[in-house]
Amino acid sequence: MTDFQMDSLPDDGFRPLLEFDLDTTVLNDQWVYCDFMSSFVANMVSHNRADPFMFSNLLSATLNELFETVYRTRKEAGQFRFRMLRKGSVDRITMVVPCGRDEQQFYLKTVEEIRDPGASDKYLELLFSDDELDRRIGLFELAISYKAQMSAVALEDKAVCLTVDLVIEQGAD
Amino acid sequence: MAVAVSTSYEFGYDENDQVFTLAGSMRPKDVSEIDACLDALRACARQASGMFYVNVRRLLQSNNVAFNGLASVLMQVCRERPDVNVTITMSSVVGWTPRKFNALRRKIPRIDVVEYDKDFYPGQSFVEDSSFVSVLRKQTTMTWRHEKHILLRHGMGEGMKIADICCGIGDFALLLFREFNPTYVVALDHAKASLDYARKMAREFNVTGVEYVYGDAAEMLLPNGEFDFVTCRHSLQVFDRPERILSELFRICKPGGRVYVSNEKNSHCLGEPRADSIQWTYNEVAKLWKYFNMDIEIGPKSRRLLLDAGFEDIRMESFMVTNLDGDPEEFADVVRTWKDMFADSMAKERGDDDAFIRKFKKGFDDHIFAALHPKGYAGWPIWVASGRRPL
Repeated sequence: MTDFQMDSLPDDGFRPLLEFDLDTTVLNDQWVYCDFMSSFVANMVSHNRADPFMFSNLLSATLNELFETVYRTRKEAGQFRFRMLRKGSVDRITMVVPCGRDEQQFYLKTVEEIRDPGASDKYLELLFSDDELDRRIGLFELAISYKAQMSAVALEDKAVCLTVDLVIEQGAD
Repeated sequence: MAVAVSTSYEFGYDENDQVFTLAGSMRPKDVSEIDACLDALRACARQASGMFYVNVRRLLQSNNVAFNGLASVLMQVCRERPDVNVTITMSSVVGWTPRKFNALRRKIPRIDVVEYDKDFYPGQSFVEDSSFVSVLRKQTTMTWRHEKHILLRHGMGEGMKIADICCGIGDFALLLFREFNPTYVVALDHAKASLDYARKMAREFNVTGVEYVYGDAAEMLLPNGEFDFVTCRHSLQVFDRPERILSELFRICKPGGRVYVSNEKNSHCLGEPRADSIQWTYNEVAKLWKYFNMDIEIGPKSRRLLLDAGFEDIRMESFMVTNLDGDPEEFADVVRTWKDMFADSMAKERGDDDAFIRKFKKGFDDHIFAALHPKGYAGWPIWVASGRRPL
């Protein structure tokens, strides 16, 4: 079991909005939880944005892609930890995903790839692929379509911590 | 905040208009889960001739699995049917859609993507112009004196959940909030300049109980049966298909709740002295609006429209805003803004000649003259109507 505490992660002046843990064995069986969690979180943190509906719609879309990525990459038992923070117009999503070395490499490598100069073309290639959808699509989408800033850090050999900074609504307080 | 959350989707095809419609939320784990929908889309597109429409205006969510499936079918259709062009209609209100579908358009130029609500409303460019803000504000000040009493006769009470649709600059929603102490107010409009103004005013007055949202009154994302009282003021008259708005107002109203609309019959604006000139100009206003497919004469038709939309217990009355209600300058200011919008913007856009515009403007000037005349009288009639959604 992984037990990395969110409190130990640096917050850079971000204000915590919402946090939850989920046993990965629960998530493993329930694809629909990706939809439930993204809709719930988006609704909970959108009320004080200038346009709550538009914000919630876009945030739900981005969160769902993240949760689906986690669903498709988790292999290890443990606690999946999710935290959402806010500083001005920036929403920070921090996720600790229990996983082995291979899955850690997936996150670390994909986060590197999205910084490549050809990442936009790669995203479109993945989006319109005739093959089975590549599981990197969600992270590429956030980086290219939503211009999210992302980082991934391996936590020993048991988990990965993914941090995503999103600006959905310019000029939000 | 109440947001329609749906984990299911629906689809349908209108053969007559060759429109395939998708609505709800599509987030499958595997594309095979939406095979029925994709097969139907493929079959309908294969039958189509000329233009084939895909309506995703109410497709609130789609994950990449679903989008990839939809895009694959549409790209296949374009390959197999060079005689068929595809147009995707989306709404700017559903934020995720422009990002994905515009990428599809760039990939396949034969697939066109249009924002439905951009061209839907015939007078949109006039009513969403930021200069219209001043008209709305003055009008609300003058009508509120009457409506705060009238609303009580139409079922407004304290502690209600209210939606103000086509809220404009949001001042009516703020007044409702202060006067009737509702539990919650959602105010929706399609004009971003107006909503920016509304949010600024709410901040200024430290009101946090009104939520201003961008939306299309004909395709709202508000949930079914949510509100005790729904208002829609001076707005049915700017849509060429008011029945579509009314069906949405009906949908979001709770069974047993009421929908309240107010509208004008501009040709009944009046004034003394100079009544004939005033009358002529306002008759011409009605014709001008009709030219742009809007009905500024809709006020007395409200009862029929509400009945046709399925409402019961219709209550209807009219009131006259006049120069004697408050400061006559307020009335004159409203007429001045009408003159600017109707004569300088709309009549010019219709292509009216200078002689017509001069005569047209004179009627407004005479209405202002009547309003400010020490013995004059100037009026602007409004019809309000409300109906109950059956239990």
